[in-house]
Amino acid sequence: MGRIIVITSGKGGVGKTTCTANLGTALAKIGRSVALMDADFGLRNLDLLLGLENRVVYTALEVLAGQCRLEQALVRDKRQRDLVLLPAAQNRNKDSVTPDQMKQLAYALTKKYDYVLIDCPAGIEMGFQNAIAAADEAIIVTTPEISAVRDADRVIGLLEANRVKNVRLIINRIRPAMVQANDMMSVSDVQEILSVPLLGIIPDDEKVIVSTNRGEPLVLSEEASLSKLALQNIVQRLEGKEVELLDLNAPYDTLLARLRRFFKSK
Amino acid sequence: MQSNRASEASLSETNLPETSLTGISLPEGEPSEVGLSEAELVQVELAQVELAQVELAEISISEPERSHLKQATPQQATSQSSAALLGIQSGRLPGVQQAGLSPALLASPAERAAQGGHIFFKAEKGVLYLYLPSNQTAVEWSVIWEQLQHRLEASQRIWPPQTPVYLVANDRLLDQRQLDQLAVALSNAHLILRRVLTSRRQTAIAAVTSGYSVDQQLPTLGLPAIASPAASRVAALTSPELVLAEPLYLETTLRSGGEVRHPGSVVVVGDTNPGSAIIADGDILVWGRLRGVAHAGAQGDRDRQIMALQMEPTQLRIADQVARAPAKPPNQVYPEVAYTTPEGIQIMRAADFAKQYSKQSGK
Repeated sequence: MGRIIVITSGKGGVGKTTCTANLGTALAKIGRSVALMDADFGLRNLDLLLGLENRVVYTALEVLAGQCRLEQALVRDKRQRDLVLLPAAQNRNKDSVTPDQMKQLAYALTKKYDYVLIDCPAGIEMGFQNAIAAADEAIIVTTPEISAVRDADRVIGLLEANRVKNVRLIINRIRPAMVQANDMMSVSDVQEILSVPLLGIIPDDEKVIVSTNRGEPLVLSEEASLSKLALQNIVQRLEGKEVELLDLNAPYDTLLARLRRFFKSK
Repeated sequence: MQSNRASEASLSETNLPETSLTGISLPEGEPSEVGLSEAELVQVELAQVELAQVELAEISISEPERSHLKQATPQQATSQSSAALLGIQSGRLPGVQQAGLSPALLASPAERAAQGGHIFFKAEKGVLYLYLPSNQTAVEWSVIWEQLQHRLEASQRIWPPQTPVYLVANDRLLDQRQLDQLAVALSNAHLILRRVLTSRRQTAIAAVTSGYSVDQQLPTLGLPAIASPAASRVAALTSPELVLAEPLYLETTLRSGGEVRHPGSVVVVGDTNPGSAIIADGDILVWGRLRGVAHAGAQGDRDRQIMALQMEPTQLRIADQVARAPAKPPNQVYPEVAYTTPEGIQIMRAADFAKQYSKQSGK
């Protein structure tokens, strides 16, 4: 039986879909079989981020309506054979599915895949209720902004009420220079409010925008980057391995501080 | 029957002020300043500290114990030394009356809870009574269910396992699916749904079909262990005190959007986050950080207090008074107590408050 993990945030635009695409790809890369479920009916874009838009033939709705089999709707990733996507319908809205139907789909997927990642839409309405219905675990994505943290807090409360107990946090788009200058909430500031275990921190990175537009998840790029490393670390932690958090401040150490450390170590 | 209906009507009428209050307390709603016209802001304390020339908005907090504030502006620091206790910027809440005036206050705690649209637990003789909000409050089932989940989660340690639960549904319409949901939620908390008390025929049928014992009450009458509204009013005439429910003890983090309403005192062991609200007819004690909204003495009792290990509230309300928190959080934290004075809500270090309080009661 695979694990069902919902990736949610409350607020929009904090990087839920980007995280889902990258975590799914990274998990597939280390040999796990992964099914990604887009729960964002009516505003789907997980297929875009994966560069699979032109391969979508059937969607989850057709499966539920019995117009096709589940296997037919699954879109296999062109680079990672272990990664499949169950697309959402674009021409409907969130009310066109029920929580029970989402459960049915997710449970069917767990039989074949190690991980079922559900990309949750923004908000706390029907789409959110659908997305969390089947989940045993949740990953909260937030940015170090007060509005995102407030919404994340609300969502954690709702998850608790719906008996999703295993909730972990990803803090996305951290700008270490701003944190150092006290212009941005730090990781500990966010954690102090949300008080849920931290799954990872991801620095703000322009490469993410480039990879999004290209439809190629960042974790597949050849180039080494801090954000890619951060995502890979998160996958390791999902797998139950202990990996230390990235030290995002490292590049922002002053020369003086480095020299001092250098001489101390001698 | 006639008299019952009449009393019901008067109940809902007198509850009107309370609904206007709910409008203010909505965390995502309009800023609460809407409720406070500028004219209503208490000006007395300003005159007292001779800060009249400073703009109202900039005064924010002024409380001598918070040392960082003294440093903030020397002008404030000097003038504060004369005033022993200074309120946070205070205002008045319209709609909250002084205790003892409104007949609605004289209803029992369970009735106040039912009319206020929130669930209420009461333990008596080894049985846990669960009161559901009245149908007139138009509270949706999903909201009730969420409230219930949070409450069960937060009170897990209090009720012994396998405690029988009597569901007091009153005039709320429940179908079989909802009853089953309820039973599952209760059994997850190791409680057993045994009996359903309802005044609605459909609910009774659904309960019987699901295999629970059913008591069909007359409308508005027959809350177990609670006198009818009329009787409680008679009792209230002899003692015009507000009857408070047992204190509510919660072990939880109260997150954004979470709202606890209780017709008695509330104790929260854990943090209350910004965006949350506690509305209690009695005192509020937070064994953790208080960062949301707290309203003590919500039925108008000004003698109520709000206590917290770390007082960083969005807003404090006691009875009809409102105060908002300083824009800048204090750099030192210690347990504090908020209480009312004629000039508005004041905050004092808990250690000092204990001394002051014993002095006052000695007088």
